[in-house]
Amino acid sequence: METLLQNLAMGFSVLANPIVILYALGGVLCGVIIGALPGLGPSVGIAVLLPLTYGMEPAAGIILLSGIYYGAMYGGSITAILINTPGDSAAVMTTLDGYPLTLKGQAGKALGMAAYSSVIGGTVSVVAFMLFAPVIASYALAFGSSEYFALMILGLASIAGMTGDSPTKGFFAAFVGLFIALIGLDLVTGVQRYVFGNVHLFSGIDFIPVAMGLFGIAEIISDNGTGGIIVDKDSLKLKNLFPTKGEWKECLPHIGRGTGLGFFVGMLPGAGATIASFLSYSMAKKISKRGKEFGSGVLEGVAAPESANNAASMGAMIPMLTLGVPGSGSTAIMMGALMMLGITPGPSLFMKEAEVAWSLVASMYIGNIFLLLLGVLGLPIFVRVLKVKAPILNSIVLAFILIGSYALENSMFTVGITIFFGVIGYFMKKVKVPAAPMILAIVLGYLTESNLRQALIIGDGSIINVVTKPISAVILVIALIMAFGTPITEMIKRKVMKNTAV
Amino acid sequence: MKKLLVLLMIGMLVLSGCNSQEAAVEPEADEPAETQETAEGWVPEKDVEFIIPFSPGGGSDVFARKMVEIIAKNDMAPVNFVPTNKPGGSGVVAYSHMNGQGANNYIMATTSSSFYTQPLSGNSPLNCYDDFTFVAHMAKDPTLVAAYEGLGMTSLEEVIEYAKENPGELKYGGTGNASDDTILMYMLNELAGIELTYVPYDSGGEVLAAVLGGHIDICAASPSEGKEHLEAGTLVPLAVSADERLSILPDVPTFLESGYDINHQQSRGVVMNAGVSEEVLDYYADLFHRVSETDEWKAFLEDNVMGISYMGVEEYTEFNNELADKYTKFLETIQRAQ
Repeated sequence: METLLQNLAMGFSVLANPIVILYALGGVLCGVIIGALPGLGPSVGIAVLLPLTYGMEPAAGIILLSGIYYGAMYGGSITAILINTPGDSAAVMTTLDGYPLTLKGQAGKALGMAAYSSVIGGTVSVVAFMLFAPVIASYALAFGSSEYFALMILGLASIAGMTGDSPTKGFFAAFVGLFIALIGLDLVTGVQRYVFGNVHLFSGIDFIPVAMGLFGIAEIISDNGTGGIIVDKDSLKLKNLFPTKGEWKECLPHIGRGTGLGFFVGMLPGAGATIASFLSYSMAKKISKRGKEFGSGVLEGVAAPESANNAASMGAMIPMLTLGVPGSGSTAIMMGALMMLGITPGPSLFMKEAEVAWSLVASMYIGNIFLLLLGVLGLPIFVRVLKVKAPILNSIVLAFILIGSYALENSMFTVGITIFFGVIGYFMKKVKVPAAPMILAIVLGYLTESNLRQALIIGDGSIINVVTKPISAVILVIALIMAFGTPITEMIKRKVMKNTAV
Repeated sequence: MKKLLVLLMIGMLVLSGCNSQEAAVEPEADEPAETQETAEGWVPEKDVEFIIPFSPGGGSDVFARKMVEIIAKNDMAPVNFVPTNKPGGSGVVAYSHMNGQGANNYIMATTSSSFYTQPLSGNSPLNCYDDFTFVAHMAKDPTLVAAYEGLGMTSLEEVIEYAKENPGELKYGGTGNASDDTILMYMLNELAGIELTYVPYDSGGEVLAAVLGGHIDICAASPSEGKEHLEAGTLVPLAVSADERLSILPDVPTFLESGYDINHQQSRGVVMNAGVSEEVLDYYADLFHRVSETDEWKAFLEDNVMGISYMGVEEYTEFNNELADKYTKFLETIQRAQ
């Protein structure tokens, strides 16, 4: 414990330099803006701003980059809540309750809750990171393809929790999503699937343009009586910007669970913040007394995924720093950046580069404080977006979405995908087919398949070898309960009621 | 206030538009400065589109941007080289985009192994023999082959002996399904008369996680990624596929030393479209030759554990044909195995 504090003190001493503090602040600020722009997530942000760090002190460089990383995690929620367009993939779940809150005139409250839960999730995870990083890193390795396959099935089972009023429509959307996930070159044999010779489809359809279309564009073109986004003047009053005591009480347990789950899932290489926020949301929905109201604008529905995605972004740093195994696209780019700064992440990082490593940990504390400050102080500015007249706001948002989707691959093809799914999303809205299960299925479908295929090769082609591994067996059982638990208990309840009635 | 807000939004719009491309454009050399070494012959008159077939942040991206940086910093060319990421289809999107521009003197792209694997496995309309001209070969990437520490084996010999007695049992993980990692395993299978089973992953990080957790037995890794784990003892080195031992891993033998004729490496070069005139090719070949001789370039390759390997137009063209033949042969083997 004493050495831990000493190390931390050493880390903070690096931060005592005002320039370094400025880098941390600048990083978080850039991150929030980049995260808020549709299509630009943490990985693009880091990649674009990477050249800035050339020639910097390694410690300053990594502090700047990690500021962008967790700033973007929060930033994604701003547009998700205000205009129903997730700024990055990890914010997709935040739209489900965040945007209805905006419609109810509680945009400020939703944004505030997103900021608080992000900061709590982030800060608690930093403490966990500091205490257990080396220990848990090796547990994360116990997850192989079979275990990931089980985890992905768990994720897919959680679709049952987000189908809204009609499970049939929800599952329909999910199956369409699974089909979309099949498009592209087969991972194992390289066979072309549903690509019809179009080279742009070889690497599959990325879910980010799909999400921007289904959520953003569909929202803009849908005619919900007011010609687009509804603005409620009341939501801009200062006293409405902060959650009440009662709301805190409702949300805190969800933040706690979201943090734990997010940290754990984030730590697993290959799972990441997006899946963490999906799982956290559906878990909150299962557990909460108000579970049935999820999707209609409840604060817990914002707190759960937002705490999870920031916790996951910290968790993902563990395998990256201590094993040199990046857990997500953004940490992979961070790792590349570290190596360019002359630091090789790996088992000996915390010994060989103690000062840099510990200053990073220290900067995470400070970064989270900046995040809180920016989140709270920025609130009145962010919500002003809603004061802009709908036609103007809609056209600006549309421009952002189209530019963002072009920027993904510097290609008009992704713009086409975004518009295509915008139109699809419009009709889905009309017939009340939920979009979230489709996105989830696209994300998880590919991962489920590739992990199953790998597990089968490793298990010599036998599915028994895949599902009977202890960890995967446990997860699969939980998934079964999640998918079929509610209908079965309801069936039993009905039977019992019938019997007692007779 | 409203005006300010609109202004702010426009600012953000601009920011979101200027992604990777503009962030890296060097401001200098805006006006055509006089060329230094190439006083005669063809000289470019407008900016060159320098296509990177992969996303920002990856190996190809870093590689390409370093060349651009060196050219700009040392004022080596009278025009700008504008790096443009065109990811998708493992490079096919980028090469098709370039190919659509015909014999254009101002567009070029970097190559990596997918330059060969995609067309040769039928996933590209292009042909890596005739559809391009080969400007300059710049570097080679060696590969480290290592084993899970819990396997209890300490050398390539041991692994091969075990694999001979237990065909199909040892699992070898690599990135992609028809990549350099794959080819390396099939070469070893063929030369040693063994049967390792290939497990494809999406990224090098996933391969590393799988082998460290003991889910697979052997992995192909980049030497810089593997180095830390060799030092920590969490991975056991078997051999490197390189021409000679690597300076960062002086104790790890090459396959050649171990008696297997394997030195397959990822080739990295710069290509243009077919039909570009010899004059133009010579200009760019000379430019990249000068890049390859800078200390910066040498230090960059050293840091990233790539072997320096400059070849000019003629030599590169010949090398390309040989390499393509080699890929064709092993991709056929791989397709049969799948």
